[in-house]
Amino acid sequence: MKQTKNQPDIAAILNGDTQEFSVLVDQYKDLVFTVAIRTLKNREEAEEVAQDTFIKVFKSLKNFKGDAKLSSWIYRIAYNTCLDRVKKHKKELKNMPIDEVRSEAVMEMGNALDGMVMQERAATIKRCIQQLSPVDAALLTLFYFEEKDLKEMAKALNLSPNTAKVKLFRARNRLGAILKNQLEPETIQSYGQG
Amino acid sequence: MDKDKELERLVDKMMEEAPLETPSSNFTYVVMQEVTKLQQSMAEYKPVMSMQSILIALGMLGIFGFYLFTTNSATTPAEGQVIQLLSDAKSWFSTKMPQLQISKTFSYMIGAIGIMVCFQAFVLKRYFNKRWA
Repeated sequence: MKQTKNQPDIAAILNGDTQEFSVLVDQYKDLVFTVAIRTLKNREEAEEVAQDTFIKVFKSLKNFKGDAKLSSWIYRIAYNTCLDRVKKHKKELKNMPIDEVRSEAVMEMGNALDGMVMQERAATIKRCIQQLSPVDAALLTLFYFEEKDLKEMAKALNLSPNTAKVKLFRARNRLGAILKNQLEPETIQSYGQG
Repeated sequence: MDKDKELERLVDKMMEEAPLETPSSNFTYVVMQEVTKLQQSMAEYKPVMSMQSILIALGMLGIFGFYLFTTNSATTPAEGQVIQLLSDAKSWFSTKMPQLQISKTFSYMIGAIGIMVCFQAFVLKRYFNKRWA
């Protein structure tokens, strides 16, 4: 998930160099689009929202003070734009109730995932993320985009680090429960014993 | 505790293996088209009032002020003239439009709404600047 490329020249963009802005778009489009599609669960909407995000980035780049990472600032705009869209269409923001996942079940699920072929595993993970609530999906996605830096993620979501930590813990639990529901008992049985 | 650590490890693995999604191939092109349009509209921006009309309005205000504070300045103080002018305006309203009766409560209400609108505009501007900054 890591993307290490040259940072776009913000001063040049502010001086009207649109070519440099296209470098920024190319650099962040996959990340922004991934946040949007995982939050909105719809490709067309995600594409529109990702485009809106970059227009907002262009319009408000002069307000970027540089006290946060450029990526965190862009994710924050993307996250807020996604949430605005979710609220506009009155999509379900609530989380599904979860059953506690036992310790052994977690290990079995891990082994079951390891036993799957790569494509099958990727498809299962995608299905699980698809079932997360918009906020949980965004939270987990941004945490890993920010290279597991809780402070940066909290900044991007405009939360306190403690709140972000609690929300992240709950989101992990929900993803675990979703994975348990996704995996057939036979799959867990055949791969799960490790 | 062990379960939480295990779950963390499992989710770490899942999220790191989750593939990045890619938008359509013309994504950057579409965004850049919008940006170019935006840049052109920003370049073509003209203020609602031109500098010439602002100067004319200021000039007229100046002439009006000069007239107000110079006529009969020897007999009555300027402040008194302003109050006189305002009360004259009130009587002008009551003679020309007798059906227009504005109560004190109504005028206070209009004033309060004006203040609230200004305050909200200020708060909203700060909110949006902060959100995108």
